[in-house]
Amino acid sequence: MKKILVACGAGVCTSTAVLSKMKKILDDNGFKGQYELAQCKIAEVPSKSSSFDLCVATTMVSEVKCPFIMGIAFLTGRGLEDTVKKIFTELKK
Amino acid sequence: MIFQDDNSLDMHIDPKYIFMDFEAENDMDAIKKMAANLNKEGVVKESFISAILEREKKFCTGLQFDEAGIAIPHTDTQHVNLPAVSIAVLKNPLSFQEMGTPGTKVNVEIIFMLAIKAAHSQVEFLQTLMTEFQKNGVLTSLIQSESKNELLNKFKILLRK
Repeated sequence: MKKILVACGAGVCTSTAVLSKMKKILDDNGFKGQYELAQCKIAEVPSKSSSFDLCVATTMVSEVKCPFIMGIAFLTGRGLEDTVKKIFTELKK
Repeated sequence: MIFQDDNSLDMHIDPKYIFMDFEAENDMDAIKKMAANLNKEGVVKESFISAILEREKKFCTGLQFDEAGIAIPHTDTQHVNLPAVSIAVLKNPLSFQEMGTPGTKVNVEIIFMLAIKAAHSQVEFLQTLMTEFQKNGVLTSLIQSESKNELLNKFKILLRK
């Protein structure tokens, strides 16, 4: 089971939009049941990320203690294929 | 005017929250003017104005879509009285910092200021917008609206999808 942490400024707005889009893509690609999602504020990432396998966020984070992938593409659709590929690679590790 | 459809996208929108040919000095000035208007209309508390400006400095909200640059300034729920969205179509594009990519600018043609009161149903609203804005012609059509009512009607149709 891979643990994914999704973060944005307040852990409410853009992270929820990213989370729901990402969840749909993961499930559509056969990852259902193989991952867990959690959501937090960007300020909590340094302390929380060590217990996660991957962090996806809508803003840069300085002290991430797990692999990090920028999640803006889930909002705009631009570069989404690349972002999704990177996430798949992390989940298959 | 309230939109309440099956998805409970219960965000208030009113011609009073819409600006056409909107002019501002820069990104912060635009946000300040839109926030002050929402405060004047009783939609948000006075504290919303400084909170949304601070928030934009820390976590910028410019987003580059294929068709146009947009910004979605927003801040914490405690500054909001009524869930609402304010829209400004800019007379001249303004440069905003791109979300997640410090140092990258987005040429913003339309601003969607979100006054979010309760996290979940209104975030669904954001999700719907992001999905619609990726579709061909949607942002261009909103930006080319000739009146507040035209923009409002187009926006309403997007939310009902």
